[in-house]
Parts: sequence; structure tokens; C-alpha cells
Amino acid sequence: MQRGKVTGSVWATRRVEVLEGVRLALVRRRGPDGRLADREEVAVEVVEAGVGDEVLLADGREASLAMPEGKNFAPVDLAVVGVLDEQSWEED
Amino acid sequence: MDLVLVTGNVVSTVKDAGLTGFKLLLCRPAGADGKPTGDELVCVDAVGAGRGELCFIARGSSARQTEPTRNRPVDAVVCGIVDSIERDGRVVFRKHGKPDGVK
Repeated sequence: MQRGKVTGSVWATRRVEVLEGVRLALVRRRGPDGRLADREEVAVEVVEAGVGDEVLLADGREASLAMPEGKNFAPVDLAVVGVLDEQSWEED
Repeated sequence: MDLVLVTGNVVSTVKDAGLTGFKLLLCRPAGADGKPTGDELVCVDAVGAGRGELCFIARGSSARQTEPTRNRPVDAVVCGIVDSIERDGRVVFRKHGKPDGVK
């Protein structure tokens, strides 16, 4: 999993059926140095994260496991799986 | 999921039997403003997308998780067509019309 940030929202009427009703968030990942990547991606958002929130992202097929029960067989490769309240680390 | 701009179609007659019946779209990764940024790739269409549309795709084994692509040799599938994108309270992409702040 990676840290990231919710930067916006994506609206899409036409989508595969299993994704109907799921909120789509615009997100940026934090790289190894903690900096936000320039690239923005779309993530399914099922934990009620808001725009501006620091979040936890799961990618790959595992991301589809964050979908609501019964909808795990979904073409999802990025999901917001947590909202970060606090972060701490030691400087090198 | 990556944002992509659909730039064209690809037709293949001689192909793996598992790819039979799919519409193949030529796509380029794009930013939230809808402008292409990266190198093109071919995606299976699962939503009826067409040229000029901004879409989002699933890659890797997730791409096999639609009914048509189940157990098929597919690693990228278009799974939604973007209507609009809002960033920091401002619409930065609109399928029909211009983004906020652009006349």
C-alpha cells in the first residue's frame, strides 16, 4: 500500500455495471521520498474520504477487494482503503 | 485506475481465440485535464467508448475482472467514460463544454 492524497472527484455515468454507485476519487500517490506524484489517477473510494484527505491506497487486483461485498469481481486496480489521521517517522 | 484518451481503434483478425469479439481501443494516458501525456496502449472496451473520449482503465489482472474479459488474455480494459473531473472545487475537465475559467 502507498500513502496518497485525494485531490478531487471524477464523474462518469457510463461505467461497467459493477462500478455503479461507487464514488470515484482523483488521487495522487506519495513516492518513496514522501512527495506527491504529478500524475493523477482514479481510485474507487469506499471509506468516505474527502477531498484533501491523506489516505492509504491499495493497488493491483487487491484493490478490488475493497469493493462492497458481492462486488469484488470488478475491474478495479486502485482503491482508497483508509484515511490517515496521524503519521510519524524518524528522520535518517 | 489510469485516465486515458481514446485516440483510435485497432483491428486484428488473426488473434488468440480468447480475444474474439472484443473492440480494441488505441488509448493514450492522460491528465485530469484530458490532455494526453504518455505512450499509447491498446485496451479492450467494456463500456462502448469511442475516439475522443476520456476514460479510465483497469490494468493487470484487474482487467480480467469483467464478465466479457474473465479468464481472457487481457491486461487493460476501459471500464468507464469520464463526464467531468473536479479538483479543489474547480471543474478541470468537462466532456461536453469547457472547464471552469476557460472561455
